[in-house]
Amino acid sequence: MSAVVVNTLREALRRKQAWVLLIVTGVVMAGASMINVFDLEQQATFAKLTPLLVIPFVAMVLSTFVAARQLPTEIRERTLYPLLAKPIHRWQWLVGKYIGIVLISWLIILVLFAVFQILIWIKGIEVNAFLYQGLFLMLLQIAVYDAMVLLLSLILHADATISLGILIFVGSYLFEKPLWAAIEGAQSLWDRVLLEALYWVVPQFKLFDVTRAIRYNWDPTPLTVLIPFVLYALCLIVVCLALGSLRLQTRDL
Amino acid sequence: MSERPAIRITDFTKVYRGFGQRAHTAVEDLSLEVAEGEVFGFLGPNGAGKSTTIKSLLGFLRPTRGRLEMLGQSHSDVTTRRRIGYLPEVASYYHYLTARETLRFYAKIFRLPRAGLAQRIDEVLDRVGLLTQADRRVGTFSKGMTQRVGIAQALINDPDLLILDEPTTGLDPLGQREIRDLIADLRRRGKTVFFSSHELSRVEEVCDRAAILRQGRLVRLGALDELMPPQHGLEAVVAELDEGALRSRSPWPVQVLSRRSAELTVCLEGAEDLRAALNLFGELGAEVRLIERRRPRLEDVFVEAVSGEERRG
Repeated sequence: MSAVVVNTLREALRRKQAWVLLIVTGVVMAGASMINVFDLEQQATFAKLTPLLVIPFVAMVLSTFVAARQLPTEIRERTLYPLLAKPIHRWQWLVGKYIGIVLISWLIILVLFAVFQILIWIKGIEVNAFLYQGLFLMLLQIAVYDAMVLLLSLILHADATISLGILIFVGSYLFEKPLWAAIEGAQSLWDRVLLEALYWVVPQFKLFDVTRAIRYNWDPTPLTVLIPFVLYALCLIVVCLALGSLRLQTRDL
Repeated sequence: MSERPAIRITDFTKVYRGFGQRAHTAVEDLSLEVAEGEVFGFLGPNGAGKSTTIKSLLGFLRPTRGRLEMLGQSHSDVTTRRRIGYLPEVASYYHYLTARETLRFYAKIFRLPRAGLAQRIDEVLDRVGLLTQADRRVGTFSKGMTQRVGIAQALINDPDLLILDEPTTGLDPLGQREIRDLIADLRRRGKTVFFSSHELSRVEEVCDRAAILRQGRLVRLGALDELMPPQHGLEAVVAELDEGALRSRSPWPVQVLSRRSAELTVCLEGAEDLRAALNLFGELGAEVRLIERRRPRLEDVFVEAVSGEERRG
């Protein structure tokens, strides 16, 4: 399985498009942090929040293109046949691909976060520990997202996977609050159960977003809150990979 | 057949069913065995079910019915694949890897020991004639070179059973000859080779036994000697021959096999007496350029089997 992981990483790193987008994003982040239209305090908040809003979306877009095309490309280009004729289970191949994609996504986030750290250090802006929790949740968020996209790519056409993946990600940011409000205002028990099921089955990526906490300088989240987040993310990852393996196992190649 | 054949296919049927499409039976009730150490040719026209059978053996397709075994284990047993090499009919390899990296990748999947791996990779690359191109990316290779990469990856684990789906596809005559030599070498080393091919002359040269499929059904199976019984008759290449006169004067049925400018290749079916045939051509004023006893040819058996017509030998 480690060979599949390394190969997935190698493929992504040898593609030039990812590097171009990464450099462009770094430049945009640097540019945004240099804007001087606010007072000093607003400038510090802007400099801290912009990367935290930009990084997940850039990582999401890059991951979508990497993850959505991985499996369909291997099937279409028939690189899968010589591989699966060897002593490797289909689920091992899927998990290997997943780990490779997650590592690429994490690399993108960590590179961008490092750029961000350098920028706020140059500007002398103080950051609290919440920022690092934010980074951790960002890594968790993209791991869930990659699992979801990988699963979708086994069911849908690559273009549909890309569209639906981005739609779910953006949708969860836009509709998380209204959906929760609808749950709380549900008229009947059935409505509530149905809405809650929808809320928990569709990954809620907004839950991993900590920009508000950083903006208002909240104290770091205690472990008692953080652990359920991790469990929630792990559950979603395991469910997506298990369904993906099942789908892969039962289909003719 | 041996106690534990290298391949055992029992009552194998594969039906493709698509949503909103009519079911299509690709292979029906196929049963055959390939003994260990045997070179087995798997023949049939396009769409006969050869690739479906091979893909099912390797677990890419789920059989609708029947049982498939390799090296004594069910085809779905992944660990057995440590001892199997496979060359797909049409495959591409990771275009961003070099030939050497490609082999190292597959070697890792096989968990081959690191000690001596570099040497093993060089050996295999040398064997398929790619050693000088080892550090070039596969994406820049020609079709024939890509096929050589395919052969190399099939050999990297020194398999006991090699499954080759159209191994000569894309290869030039020299490459085709190398494949023949490779198969012959594998046989000498006691390996089992199961391969499908359209190159019947190659099959004839290297196979111990063969099976012929037609429309998903097995129509011939056996040793090449059994499949190609001795032929009776003579074949001659002659010039300056009046075909009508030959037909009226010949005591044997005449079949014209080919015409090339002034030359005719004719078959005198059932003729055994070489001198009598030469006399006949001499009386007709024809110039005999070649005359020989009819040799059994796999191509004839193949054509007969797939067309469903019984022809007399």
